[in-house]
Amino acid sequence: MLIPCPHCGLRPSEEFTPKGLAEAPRPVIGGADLPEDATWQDYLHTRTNRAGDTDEYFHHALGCRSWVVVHRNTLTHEVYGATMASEFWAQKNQQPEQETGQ
Amino acid sequence: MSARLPQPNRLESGGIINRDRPVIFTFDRRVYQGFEGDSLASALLANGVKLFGRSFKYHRPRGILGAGPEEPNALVEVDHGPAERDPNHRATMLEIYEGLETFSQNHFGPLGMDVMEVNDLISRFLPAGFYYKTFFFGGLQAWYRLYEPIIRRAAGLGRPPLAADPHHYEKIYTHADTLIVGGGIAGLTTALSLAKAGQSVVVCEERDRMGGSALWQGETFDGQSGADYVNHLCAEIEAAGGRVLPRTTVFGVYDAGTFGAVERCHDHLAKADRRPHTARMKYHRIQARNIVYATGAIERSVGFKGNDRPGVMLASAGHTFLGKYGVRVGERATVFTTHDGGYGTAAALAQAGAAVTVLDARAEANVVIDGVTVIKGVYAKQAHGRMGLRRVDYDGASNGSLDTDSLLVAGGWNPAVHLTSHTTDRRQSKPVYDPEMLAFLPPELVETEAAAGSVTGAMSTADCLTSAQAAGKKLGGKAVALPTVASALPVSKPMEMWAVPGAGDAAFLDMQNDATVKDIKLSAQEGFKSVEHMKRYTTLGMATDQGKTANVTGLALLAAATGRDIAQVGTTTFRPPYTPIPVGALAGHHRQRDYEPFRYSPIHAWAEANGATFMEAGLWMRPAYYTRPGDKTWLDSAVRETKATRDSLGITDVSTLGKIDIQGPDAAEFLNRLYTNGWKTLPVGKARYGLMLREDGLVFDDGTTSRLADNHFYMTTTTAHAAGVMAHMEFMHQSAWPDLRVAFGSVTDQWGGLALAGPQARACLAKLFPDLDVTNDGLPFMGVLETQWNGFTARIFRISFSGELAYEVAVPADVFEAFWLEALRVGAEWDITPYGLEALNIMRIEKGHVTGAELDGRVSMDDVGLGKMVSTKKDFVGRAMSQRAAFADPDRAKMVGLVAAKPDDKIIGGGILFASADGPFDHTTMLGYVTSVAQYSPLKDRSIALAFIKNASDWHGKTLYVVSHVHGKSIMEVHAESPHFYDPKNEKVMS
Repeated sequence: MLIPCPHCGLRPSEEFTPKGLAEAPRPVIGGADLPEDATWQDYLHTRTNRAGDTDEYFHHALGCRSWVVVHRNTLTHEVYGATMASEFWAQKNQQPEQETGQ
Repeated sequence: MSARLPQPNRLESGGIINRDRPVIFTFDRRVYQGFEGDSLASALLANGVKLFGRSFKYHRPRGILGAGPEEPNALVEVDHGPAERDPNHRATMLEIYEGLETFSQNHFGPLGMDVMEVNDLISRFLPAGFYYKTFFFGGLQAWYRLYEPIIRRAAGLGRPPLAADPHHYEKIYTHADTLIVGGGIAGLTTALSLAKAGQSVVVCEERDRMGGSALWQGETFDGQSGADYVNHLCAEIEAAGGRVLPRTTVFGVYDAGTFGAVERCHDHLAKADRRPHTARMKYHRIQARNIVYATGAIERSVGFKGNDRPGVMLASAGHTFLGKYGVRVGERATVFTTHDGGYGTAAALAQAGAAVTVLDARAEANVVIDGVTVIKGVYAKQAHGRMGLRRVDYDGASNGSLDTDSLLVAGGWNPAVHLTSHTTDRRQSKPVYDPEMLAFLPPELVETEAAAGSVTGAMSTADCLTSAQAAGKKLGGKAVALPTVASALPVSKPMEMWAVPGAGDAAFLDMQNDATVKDIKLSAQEGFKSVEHMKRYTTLGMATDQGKTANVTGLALLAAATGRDIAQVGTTTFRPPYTPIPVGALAGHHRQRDYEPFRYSPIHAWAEANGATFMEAGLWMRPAYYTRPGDKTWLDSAVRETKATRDSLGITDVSTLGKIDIQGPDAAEFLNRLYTNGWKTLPVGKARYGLMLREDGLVFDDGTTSRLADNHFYMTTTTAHAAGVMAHMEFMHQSAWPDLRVAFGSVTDQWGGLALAGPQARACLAKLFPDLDVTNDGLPFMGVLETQWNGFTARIFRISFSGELAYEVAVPADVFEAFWLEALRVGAEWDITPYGLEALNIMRIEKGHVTGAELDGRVSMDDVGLGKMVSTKKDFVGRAMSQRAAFADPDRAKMVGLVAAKPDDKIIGGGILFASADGPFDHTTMLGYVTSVAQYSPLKDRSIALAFIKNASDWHGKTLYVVSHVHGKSIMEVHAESPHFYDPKNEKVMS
């Protein structure tokens, strides 16, 4: 597998360490958060494990040390692209409603 | 040059062997002579050898079936001593060289008289599934103790080497625009087309030289011989910047244009010709945009009784031995064919002086060859001759018997579609069965793939060249002028005949696994109708050859037996590797000492020279203890080092701790969010102990972090978690808090560090830094100073892991050894004693300090007694989840200290804690477990330990029992107390 690191370009996957699906942003803690809060449960434990298009965190540990979100298809192994993790959630929040949560 | 010895089956001319260079080699200790360019198979056939080995199950005598990588029978061992005994070489692929020693495999006693051949006589009782069904008798025990060892000895493929592999193997990355798999005439033509268009191309050919069938079919190209035309093509490709790699097997196709290939660099060379320190094999990881499958086709046999007798081979094999090696496989040859292609072989043999008869399965056949007898509408019914073919019976439109010494079978061609199937998951289609061609063809190819040559189903050389031109065009190549091919080889589609009428047992499909026509029928009859089940039931298509000559025939027969079409039955999935590759080639230099890199402290050489014994801590090598005169055991050393430190002054190397430099206006806020405790109020010049949680609320790591300036922090982590903490910080910063203005980097390798510990630590430090105020006021506990040592920056941290008055001093790694030696020199006054991890372990257990043994990913802050280190005024990693009710359960095991009741007892690490010595000792009564053990604590004059136990504080002062189920179930009495054995009020560290 090759991963198009936004910083380094196309690099072999051996340079990266996978972390798992990027399905929800980390919840922001206010004053009275409780661990039973469903948003925390979802953030930590709920994974759709969809067969098909996925967004996954990868760490370019043997490269530029960037965390990237790789967009790929687990059925065809096609890699569509990658976004810097630092930009991923901001971009996702800007997208119109109907494109999220599919 | 040695004298020429007679080679009875070698022709005086023809082939591309070098008759001026005779080569001496042995097979089963007999000496033979061949020529440079011979394979072991061709050289032995030239010498009249027919018997090459014994079959896997029935131990039937076997000869040669093919002439290339598909060979299932003739597997031999190359033996040059215990470390270089290399089994399962295909005799057809093994190139001979001066001094080559080879042995046949899989027989008990001499090859000609194998006692296990009794299996063949009782073969009717050993059908598919026999082992599964029979050896249930006596149960599993009988299987493991009695049956399996015997069966394993009787059924084997060669013997493994007995010593470590002495060879070098290399891994290299190879990049190309297009990879061409297969260096036959089609692959080379496609490569030339692409190279001329400016693409970088690599052509990999698994055999000893480029050219494929052009080397033996006897056709001419623009008047040139096949070999000459191939040389011309290769020269043109290389002139256009392309690469041509013979002896290189592309064994797998992977994602995103990644391909695995192994190049054999040494195996064909005499030992004297192998350059020392060069690689036996190179593993190429090929990265290419496009791939061309020019993998050719593999001929198949037909199922009839005795079709495995030595002397029965594929027609293309007999033709190859003749055309490429100048070896005539028989004087009275019979060709059994289902299509026109067999006549080309018949003609070539006749021209070489053999008496040839063709048995044509078709009633209608129109090829006429001078001097060749043709019998139409008949099939080979049975071949006779246990050690070598003598006679063949035929039946059909007419019947009879022929005296013959070689039977060449032309049953049709199977395109080598294996590699196109490695990506089945992605393309979601498998090779496609073509009922016209009676063969599986490659599935629909994507735009970066093309196929050329006979793998496409093309039969004549002219058609192969046309397909190559099309493949080149598809991938952006330039048109190349195709040569005029002068051919005398008739081609036609085959007649459908997978097995002859009435074929059953001893009609072999998979020669390597002794799977017969009868076994397939039995499989279908017993309900194993899926091709995957049939494969596992009959073992057809398994082992080293993976059924290259057998698979398609097997599933055609399965289709017939179950009343389905071949397309419905489908194929099993071809997976990498295409042919066996040594694991050594994949491992390369990543083995033994070079498996992983080692990391060394800047004073490693000093420690080595001063009696240190090292232990691995992650990749680091850390001194465990320093042996001094009088130390009898490691424990003597560790206890001596502990006492010296507690009584006066010790010194230890802490360079391996993870060190992270953190800077930026939001650096304090960043730490606030990473650690459970608060950091904004930490003054400049102070250090603080910090605890990190995982997001699920469990403890992740601990360490001290110091504030060097308002916006500048210096963090330390445990040695083991340094890389994990760094990645965690990067993840949180980039994924959750990208707005924080902070930057950080690992400085672990940039700083060397030592700890001075013991009552004289301050005196020693004052002598090292005479201008510095190191009094309790000038440098209080948790104080940090940045100063100079001989013009280099030195950072002094008053922190303690040992429980003594202690300082850690960091200087740039380059000058750390000098600084260490200086500390030893000035510390001599107090008998400064270097201590290792074992002494440190004793001291930190006495102090009740936790390490990775306690922070094992299952404990909460509270469990290790650090529950108060939580700021409730802020967000931090793990905060929400650390408030889960389960973490407040009083039943959770918490840390406790243990002291052995008897002075000589050594508490066992990992032991389980129970309240009673009477048992039962199981999960219903278990209270906790031991995490860290000091075999001897000078403080307690016996063994102590840290452990986790339910209701920990209730047990203080009480008796418990440690039981280890992995150490003989010994029951040891211990007393529980606070884990802070030593200086619980921290008076020493504050002194």
